[in-house]
Amino acid sequence: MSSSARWPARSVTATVMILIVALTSGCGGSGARADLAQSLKETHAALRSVETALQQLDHGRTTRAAVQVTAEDMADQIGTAQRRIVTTSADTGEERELRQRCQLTIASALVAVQDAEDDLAASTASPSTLARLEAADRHVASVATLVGEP
Amino acid sequence: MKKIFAVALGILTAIGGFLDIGDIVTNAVVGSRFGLSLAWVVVVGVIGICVFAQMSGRVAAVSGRATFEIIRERLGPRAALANLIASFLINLMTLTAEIGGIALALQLASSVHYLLWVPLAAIAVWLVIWRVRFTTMENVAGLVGLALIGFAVALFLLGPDWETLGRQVLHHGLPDTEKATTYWFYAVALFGAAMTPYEVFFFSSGAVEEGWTTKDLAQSRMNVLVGFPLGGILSLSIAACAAVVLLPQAIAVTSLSQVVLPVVEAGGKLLLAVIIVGVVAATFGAALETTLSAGYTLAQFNGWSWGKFRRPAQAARFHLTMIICVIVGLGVLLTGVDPIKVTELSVVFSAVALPLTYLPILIIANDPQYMGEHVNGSAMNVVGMAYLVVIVVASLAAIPLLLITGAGS
Repeated sequence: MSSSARWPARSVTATVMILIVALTSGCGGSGARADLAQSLKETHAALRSVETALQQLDHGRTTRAAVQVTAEDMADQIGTAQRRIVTTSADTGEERELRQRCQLTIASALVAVQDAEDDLAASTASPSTLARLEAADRHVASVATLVGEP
Repeated sequence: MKKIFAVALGILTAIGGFLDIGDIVTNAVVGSRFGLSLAWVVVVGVIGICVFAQMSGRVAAVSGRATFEIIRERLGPRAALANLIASFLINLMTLTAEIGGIALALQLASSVHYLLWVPLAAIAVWLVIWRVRFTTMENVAGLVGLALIGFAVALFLLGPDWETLGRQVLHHGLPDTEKATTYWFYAVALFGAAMTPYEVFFFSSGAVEEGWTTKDLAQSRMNVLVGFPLGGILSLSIAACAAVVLLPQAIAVTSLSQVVLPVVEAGGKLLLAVIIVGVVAATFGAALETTLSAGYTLAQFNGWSWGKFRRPAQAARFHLTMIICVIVGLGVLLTGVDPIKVTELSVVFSAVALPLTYLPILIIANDPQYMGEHVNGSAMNVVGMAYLVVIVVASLAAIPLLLITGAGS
């Protein structure tokens, strides 16, 4: 094959490589506070999703299987939020302190969701399961205020 | 009576087959983050796919040739090769997303991890392509996919404040938590979800498979102009359900299990079952279409024998391409990559590649030597040119927006 015939394949490969590098190197990122806020937002959304699904189960409107899947998916989502914080660098003491609070808050949210998963698997989900999730959600909201999220 | 039945069946399958995992996920994400403020994009996208499908169906019926044969003829082998690589890779990405979508829907029904469903879904896709007749395959997937009307039913059962929804549609205000670049990123994604290139490859090649002639043009026009807009209403219903239930709770959709929360809220277990059936049918139908499109594009570019109307032995390379594509999609999913992420990327890259397939069809549909009396009229040309501008702008904006927003996060 002549070199001119190879250019489309080469340019497509180069474009794909650049995109992969750009996407995986966090080109879209914008500072420690923004990363912390994003992680808290995702954690809140995950907790509210599991809460909603559990309430639906409590009212007999959904299946245990669907709620279990929601809890698994949301545990993964909180895991992603947690990993983002691990890679967030803090420039000031205040940012470091905020990062630590966010780490602890998100870790406790993950524990609440995993507990819910276990309760669902053992068919022992109860009002206390929901109460733990709601408490974790309130905690997330209070830390989000410190970070600057409404 | 037979004619009326055929038209009704065509319209119903067009509605049921309109949505795929890209539409379902993107509309739910957009509804949960922006309400109905991007509803205008769905309208633009639906009109666009009507224009595109109508032209490509007409070209196929008049010439008896499918999209990729024409692309190669018009652009020459070198430019067509670049087009083929881009279209083929995006089609493969979409196929991967659709197989993942089937597995995710089955996980929702069973709570068995989706990775265990992925091989079964891939085998089922291949078996249907290998054994089932084209028309049966198309009609069954489209008709069962009509179960997604459950989203529209859910919206009415939720009893939303229609005035608020109307305000979201008319005032394209940005929520405080979102940036303008993210809004435009999702506008492009939604446009790409509505106008995926594989739909056109499938539509034009399907016209050749079914032996369309100019006598079938009226029915084809009805299917497109009635079926697709009604399919678009289902897209809007998904976004509206998310806007009513998830947006007020700041639940931004990242998984299929969140997409069904509003449905359960509205209609309980029964509606959940209906929607799961609909999602399986829609994603399965789209997996069949993307698998066939992979075979169509490569075979048509290389001049191989192709088509389901031929026995596999008579179109061996066409069938081998499809088998390899299903295996590649399966392999990608088994690495544990998130099918929803694949879906989100596939709709954006669909927007990137769209001009490559749209332009040759527009040129051919305008060629009186090729099309004779069925050449584009002046009104169709104005619309077609306007869409060319929209498609090029969306294509150029897609990758910068993808990078600036970190894929919409």
